[in-house]
Amino acid sequence: MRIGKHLAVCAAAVVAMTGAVTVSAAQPAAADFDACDLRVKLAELNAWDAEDQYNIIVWKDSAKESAHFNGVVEQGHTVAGECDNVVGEDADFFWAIFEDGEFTRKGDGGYRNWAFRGHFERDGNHVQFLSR
Amino acid sequence: MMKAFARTAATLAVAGAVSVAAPAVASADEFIEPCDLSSKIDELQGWGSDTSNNIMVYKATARESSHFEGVVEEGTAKAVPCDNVFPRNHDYHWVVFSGDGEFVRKGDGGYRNWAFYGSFTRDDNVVTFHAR
Repeated sequence: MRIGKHLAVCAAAVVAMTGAVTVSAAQPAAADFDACDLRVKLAELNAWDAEDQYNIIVWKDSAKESAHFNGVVEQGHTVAGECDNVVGEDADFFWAIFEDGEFTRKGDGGYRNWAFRGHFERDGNHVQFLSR
Repeated sequence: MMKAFARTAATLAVAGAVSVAAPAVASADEFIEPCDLSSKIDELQGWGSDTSNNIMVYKATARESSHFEGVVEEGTAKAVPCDNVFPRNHDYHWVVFSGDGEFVRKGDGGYRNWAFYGSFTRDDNVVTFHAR
């Protein structure tokens, strides 16, 4: 994967700043991903957008009715155990940093299903994101 | 897209931990929805953000032959096929490309076996892609 290659290239610089690197073949870079509170991931991405240029959303795949984004500058995916699921079922989670767009949620709200920030107008389960 | 990856490095530096993925053919972290391969197209396009390329997503067993030119991204994920009672993983592949191409399907159609996007001419199980 291209991301993998790029990470490898950047690894030296990152090591210099963090002092610790875990090398593994299949582990997602999501050790501190909180499936019960997607604001944790949102906060991490928020640091990425220090100048508040973009809109950011994190969502659980099963909570997405529809999504359309323009000008995506960063996106990602991870698999994590569902919040409070005793069976330990894994679920897909996504995030995107983008110029504008819209997202329609299905099912329950709450931070286990979605979290977002930026310039938007929300009407129930529908969020219209506007350019910042 | 390169811009996005350059920013990824910055994000990781802030996060303080990084996993360096080996150039694995199939990553456990890659998203695939075995019952609806078109959802992978949505992800690869950044949910509508970049629709400039041809895209082919397919279950490995549904491929008779294929040829793609101008590949910009490709990947593989393993997953239990849609409605399979027996939990054995199969390979799913995707290719994002800008040039001509051809995909010949074998077996059943449907979004559990293939999904594609772009400029193409289709004759039943043969899809001929045209350069974008």
